[in-house]
Amino acid sequence: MSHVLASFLALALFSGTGWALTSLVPTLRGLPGAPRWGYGYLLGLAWTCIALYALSHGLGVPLRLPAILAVATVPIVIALLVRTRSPARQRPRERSPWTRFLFVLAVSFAALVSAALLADAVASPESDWDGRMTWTMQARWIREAGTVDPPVLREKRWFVSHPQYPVLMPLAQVVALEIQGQADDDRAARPLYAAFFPALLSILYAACRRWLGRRTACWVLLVAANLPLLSFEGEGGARSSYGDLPLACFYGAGLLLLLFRPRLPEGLAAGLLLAAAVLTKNEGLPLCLAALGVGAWSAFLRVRRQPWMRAAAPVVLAALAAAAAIGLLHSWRSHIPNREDEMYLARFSLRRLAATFLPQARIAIPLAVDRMLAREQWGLFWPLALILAVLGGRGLRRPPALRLAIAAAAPLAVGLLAYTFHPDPAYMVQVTWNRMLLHAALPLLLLLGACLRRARHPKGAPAGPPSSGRRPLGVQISGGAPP
Amino acid sequence: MGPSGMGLSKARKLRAVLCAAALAAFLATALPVTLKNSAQHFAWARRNIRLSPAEARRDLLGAAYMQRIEEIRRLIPEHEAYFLVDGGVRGDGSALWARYELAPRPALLLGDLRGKRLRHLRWARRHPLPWVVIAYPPPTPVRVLPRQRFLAEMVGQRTR
Repeated sequence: MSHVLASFLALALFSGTGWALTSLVPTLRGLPGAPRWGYGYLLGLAWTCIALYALSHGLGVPLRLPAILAVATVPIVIALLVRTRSPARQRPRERSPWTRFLFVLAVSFAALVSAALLADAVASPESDWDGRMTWTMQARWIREAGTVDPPVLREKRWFVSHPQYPVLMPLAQVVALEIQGQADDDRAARPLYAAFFPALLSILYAACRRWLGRRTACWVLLVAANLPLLSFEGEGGARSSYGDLPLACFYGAGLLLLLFRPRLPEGLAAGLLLAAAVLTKNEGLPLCLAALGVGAWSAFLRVRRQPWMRAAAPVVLAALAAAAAIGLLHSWRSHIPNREDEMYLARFSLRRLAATFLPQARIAIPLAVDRMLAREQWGLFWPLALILAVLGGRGLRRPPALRLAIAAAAPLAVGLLAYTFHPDPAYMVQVTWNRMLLHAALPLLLLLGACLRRARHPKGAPAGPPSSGRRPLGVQISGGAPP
Repeated sequence: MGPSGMGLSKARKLRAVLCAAALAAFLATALPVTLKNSAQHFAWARRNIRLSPAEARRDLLGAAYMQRIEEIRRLIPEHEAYFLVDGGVRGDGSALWARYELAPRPALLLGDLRGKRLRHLRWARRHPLPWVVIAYPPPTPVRVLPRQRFLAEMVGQRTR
């Protein structure tokens, strides 16, 4: 039973560190408990593991408990010294009985699924493909060597799948295994992945509530809590030890922080999350660039109302943090010979892209549609999305819907590009397309909410809170009309 | 949907009704699946929570498979490498599963037995690692044999 305690200690460590970090970011500090925990969990994991990644690779610091505890406590000490005060939260407006019922229903389902995932994660061993092939495997080698540069990765002869995959999530597993004190019980680390599900839901609910109103947020939460792809799917969902749900969370949360009138602390937090995206999966790099592009666009829209320095500084700060992560990744990879990998970048050429894009897309797109209609992963989500888009598509005119749409399209573009350079796109679509859609989960579900709200209130009903005053992750949507 | 649509035109009312119907259809199919999946995960948790790491993996991969893995773990020290051969069929992950269970021992993959050709058999002649592990898909137990015996078997197969 020690693994159960160890699992929760690792979760508590990341949550505590992250809570301290959220206290340094005004818009996150003012959030209610669950969304603040959601952001906190992501920030805590990102901070701890990026710092360990850099310290281990750059300075050779051993990845053992003293280093882990030292890194994790730094934000806590800073938060205690700074002693920020949470802004007084406005009393929530009186909700109608129907909204209250909807809220209870949505939260109940979110809590039920999260509890089921966490219970299974602490009890059952690793059984998914990529977890065993790549992520948990890397964690074992790294933990055994006490460094992110174990000889087994650096020496070409050893059989390693995707040795150049970034190892942020394996490092998170190392933290859990170090706390547990034994290497061969992978159950200690599985809850770290399961916890991304409630984190994503709480962040989604908070953003949706502020942008589209409480009732729409409840509907979107209810839909998301019942999407098997996010939760019970064994290839990419919270049940698995794949890097896809963590990437979806880091990318989506970083994007949201840049979208909603950030200041310097928000920019720094977004940079930390996007840096974590870069160090979580290969797809993280293009997604990070997409998020920064969308953030820069939002800053440009704000220039009309703000001095340009103030508008641009948060995005610049986020870009600097992301650039540091890209530098770290490049330096770490430069010592690792690649093998057992698709090597997309090595195959990339514009001539090949022009020659193969259409034929490969013709193979990939029907299969991708087929994957989206798979009931086990999606239920009736896509028919619902199609109907809502027809009924409430005008809701997508509401800023920042276009920027969210671009952010949602970025992972799909990455997928299509990868299929162009793969010799067997049909196989790749089967195993990766749903995961690409998963990366887009946060912007995609927010767009669904915009359509839903418009379809429910065709006249443009009163939903979002007033746009005056600074609100946590609020509705001061840059360039946007007041709700 | 609430009373906000009372003053709407027929088309708008229809839109709100269709929206409600679409949501109802999604939830009517999704909620039972969620409840079933949650119950199943709680049941797995209840069954596995008291198991030791070894027992939990035995439950997952089969007793015979894990027993052989335990034997190999005792045979090959944690810091020592071994040769790995994929004895399964394409795409079943036999070598990946065995490598995972034997980690952190580094593996040197010789290839697969399909078509009785090993891509890197020459490595087995060149590197002095004492053991060869032949992986099969669980629950079929993996095989372990000394390098010389493995090489002799390979030569024997070729001459047959």
